Amino acid sequence: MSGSQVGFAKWLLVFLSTYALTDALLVGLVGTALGIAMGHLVISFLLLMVAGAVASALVYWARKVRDEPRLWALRFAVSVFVFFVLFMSAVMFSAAQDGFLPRADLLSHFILLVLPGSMIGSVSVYIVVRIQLLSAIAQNGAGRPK
Amino acid sequence: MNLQAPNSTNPSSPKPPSSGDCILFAQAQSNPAAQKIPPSAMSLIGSTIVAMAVIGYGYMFLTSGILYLAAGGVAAAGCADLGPDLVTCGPALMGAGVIATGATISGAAGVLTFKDATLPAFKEWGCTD
Repeated sequence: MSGSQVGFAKWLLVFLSTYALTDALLVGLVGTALGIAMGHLVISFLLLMVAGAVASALVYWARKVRDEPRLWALRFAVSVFVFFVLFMSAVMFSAAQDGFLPRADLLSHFILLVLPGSMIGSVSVYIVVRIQLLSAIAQNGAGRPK
Repeated sequence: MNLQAPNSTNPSSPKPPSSGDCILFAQAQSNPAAQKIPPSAMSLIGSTIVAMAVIGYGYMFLTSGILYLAAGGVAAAGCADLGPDLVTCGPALMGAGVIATGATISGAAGVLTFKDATLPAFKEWGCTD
């Protein structure tokens, strides 16, 4: 299935179903390993799903400009940055709720680690996507990067 | 920090130290052997504590940063490929999130470890409460 020309509904359906499967697997494994109550697991699952839903819309928005490598890489980097921030917020909130992380430390860890880390991750995304697309264009000879 | 004042009736008692040396001064009151510690050694100990903190924090942030780089790479590989990536994008982003979680835990553990190790030393050195 090529993802470049699919409609939003199909994209959302496929993305969210595969994301939900891995989300359920992850939350189930962590919950079993750490002995977390089912109620808390459901909240964690839903919080992570919110991050995924936002990311799916942003990635779809980014994919609409796949013929413009620079813009596509930039949009995708922004999408991944927002995803990391939301994902880590959900994880940290869940950890604090389950008593694994003191609530007093949430903000300092978020500012010290999550924000700079997400920026590093999105820069990495930008570079990887640019290299991928430029090499693909060079191989196919399908125009030049703008 | 309870700093014992020098004995004003005894002119041979040591002079009050500068603020950074007060713990060693306090120790010297009860331990005559500590009186022989030269000021240069005290500065060396202080510099070592600072260097340990800088290297420790730097190392943890570097490790965390490399993991975040890897997370970005996973996300890009799963979602930005020109091939059949519609099915792989969701799990790739979840995988990237898991790696980012590992990066954050690694960084947080490092910060907490070095905070526990170096802050007490800083407090003793600087005679702070």
